[in-house]
Amino acid sequence: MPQRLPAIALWTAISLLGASALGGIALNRGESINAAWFVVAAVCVYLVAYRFYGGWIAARVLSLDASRATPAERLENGRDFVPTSRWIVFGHHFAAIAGAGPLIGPTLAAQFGYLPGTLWLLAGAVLGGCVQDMLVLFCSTRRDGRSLGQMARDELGRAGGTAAMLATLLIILILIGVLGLVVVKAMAHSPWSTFTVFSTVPIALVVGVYLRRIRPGRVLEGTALGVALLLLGVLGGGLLGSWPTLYAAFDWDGRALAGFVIAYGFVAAILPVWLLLAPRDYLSTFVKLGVVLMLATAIVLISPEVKMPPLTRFVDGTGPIFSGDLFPFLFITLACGAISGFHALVASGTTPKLLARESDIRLIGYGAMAAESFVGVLALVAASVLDPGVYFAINTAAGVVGADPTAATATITSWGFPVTAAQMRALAESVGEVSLFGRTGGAPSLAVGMASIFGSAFGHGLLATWYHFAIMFEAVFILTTLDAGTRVGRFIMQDMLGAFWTPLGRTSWYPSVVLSSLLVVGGWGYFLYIGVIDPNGGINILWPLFGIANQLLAAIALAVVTVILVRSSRARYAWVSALPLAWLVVVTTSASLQKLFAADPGVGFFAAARELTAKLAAGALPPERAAIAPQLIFNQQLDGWMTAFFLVLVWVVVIDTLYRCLRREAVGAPRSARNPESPYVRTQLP
Amino acid sequence: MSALSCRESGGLRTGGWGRPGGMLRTLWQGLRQLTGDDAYERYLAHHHRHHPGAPVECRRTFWRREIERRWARGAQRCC
Repeated sequence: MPQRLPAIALWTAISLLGASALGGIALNRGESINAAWFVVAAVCVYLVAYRFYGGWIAARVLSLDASRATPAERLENGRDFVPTSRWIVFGHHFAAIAGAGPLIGPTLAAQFGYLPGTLWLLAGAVLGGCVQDMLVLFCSTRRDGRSLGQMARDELGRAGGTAAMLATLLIILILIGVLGLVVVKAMAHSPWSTFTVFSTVPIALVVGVYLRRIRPGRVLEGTALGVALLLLGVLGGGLLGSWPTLYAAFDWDGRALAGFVIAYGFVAAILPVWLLLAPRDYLSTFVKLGVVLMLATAIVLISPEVKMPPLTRFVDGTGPIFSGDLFPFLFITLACGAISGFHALVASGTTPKLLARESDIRLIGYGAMAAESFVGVLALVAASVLDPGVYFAINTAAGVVGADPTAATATITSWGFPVTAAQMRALAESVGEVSLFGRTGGAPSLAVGMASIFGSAFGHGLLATWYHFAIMFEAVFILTTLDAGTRVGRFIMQDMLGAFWTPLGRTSWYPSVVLSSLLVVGGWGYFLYIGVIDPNGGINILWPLFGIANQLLAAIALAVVTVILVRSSRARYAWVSALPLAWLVVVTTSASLQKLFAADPGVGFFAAARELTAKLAAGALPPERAAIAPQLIFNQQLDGWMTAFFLVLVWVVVIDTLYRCLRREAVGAPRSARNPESPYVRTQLP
Repeated sequence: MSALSCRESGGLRTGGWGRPGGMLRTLWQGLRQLTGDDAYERYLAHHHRHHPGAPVECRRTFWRREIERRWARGAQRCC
């Protein structure tokens, strides 16, 4: 016992520090609070949760066995199955799970104030998201790296497997649609941003050719070259103003940019991977990890004051960025960074084939998700260091507060968040933009927040450059997700089409490639288009749909692992995944029901369709709104039916899970007879 | 299966944390491994170990296959 005293003292100190930082954040009223407290509270919560809850799950629930050879060791082939150092796997895994979601979600959720978002990012991650990722990684590792879809088919049967496949395809379509919208909104009427984002395409091509023809496989050289060119692209966009014709050539509205993004998505999906996807992925990973580290360093270095109040009046459901009450819509908006179903796709399939030791599952499953949650906290801080008035002016669509700057700022000021048109004009000028009003999507406000943080830490004169650097950073990995996700969706689509006509299932048959790519791009392209023409900015209709889909996928993943826990003589610990599952079912069900049946047209899809129909019939719409009204009505109804479909999928999975868990109780079958874990083999690794 | 040493199986080759040069070398190796920059060297090591004497692919051919293998089915890049 005496030799354990230092450890006990250390963990007591970390717990106390975390508790007081969290208490300070939660109980703070009226005074501004320093962002450093968020960092301290978050890091302490992750450390304590990792040490105790993660450690308990590893030891008791899963009985992780370092002496058991992993698939990477048993099936080593030097390609997919490669035992790899744990920190390298951590890097790979983190780069694959952390994308735009944990940056955008917290930015939007800041409309409730900083407190609900921070608390849910922390609690949701350590009790739900980290647990999900760790358990899925464990189950897949014990099954030679089977994918979530395969495990769902094995454990939940045909219905569960089909639900997982459909949910995966739909979430990819909605995810790409909404991320495309984020990029389009960031580029609309901003030639500098448009030039910078467009320049990433030829830069990726140059790196692709470099790695193929000039210096094959010199990844670091190619990446360094690419990153240097990306920075030149950011600087180059700033010089556009000197050439009016060139400047005008990059000045596009949302619809045209959406067309470009859709066309790009299709071409990227059928180009060889070495030319565009692979180099883009190298650049995106490098830039992503680099900027996340920079942001964390800068926030710690300058410790900015948080200006957002802990709670805003919009917890009552009248929020201008997205409507709906705190419950359930905070939990739908903040999916990534707390619990993200998408991670289950990464944690099954790719990562298990790299694990050198089973005991690494805790660091990679639990730890990498905690790191992603930390990125979410950083994004929330970046949104909260802005003046709340400025934050709302950037993120609220013209359809909500009007297009006239004076009227818009007056409305926002009347909410209790003072801001003036002159202040917004000066801010837009300082970041090199024409206007920052109604720049929905989260990216511009995140970029303003990051630019102000980077500016204070590394030099204020460069505010405009920092702003566009942040836009480039977001766009680079959003476009990578778009390109990679389209291909993943294409393979699922080909799989499904192959069931109807076998040749369509052949992944290398060119007509099938083109057809399925068209279907996938058409699918997300339509959602992107819906978002762009929506007068309320698109986020209010698309982001909840994305959140529900993501939480649905998380529910499927948790259902699969719950069934596995129950069947593998770990039933008494099944609450570890069953509780987050129950929470997700409650959240998705209540959010879906509200989206379907709420009478408030801001919340209910069908209510919005009815309201618009009535206005159109009464002739109460201005002509330009009346022209697109039939399409908006159809879109609202389509979104409503999508939501209904997700709700049905959730309940199919829940009933299937209950049936399988209860039947096990009745029959007492020890484990799935069809898919037992791979047998124990002793590791040969030193 | 023959005994694998950590070195061949892709463990992080440490240059010794004690000396500053060793630490830099470890970080550099980690960076190369994380980005996949050393994939060809790993292929050679694996090849010599498991298929001694068999013909070896040149760097260019290896990389054509490698990039196709890693990205042809898309990549899981999360939200």
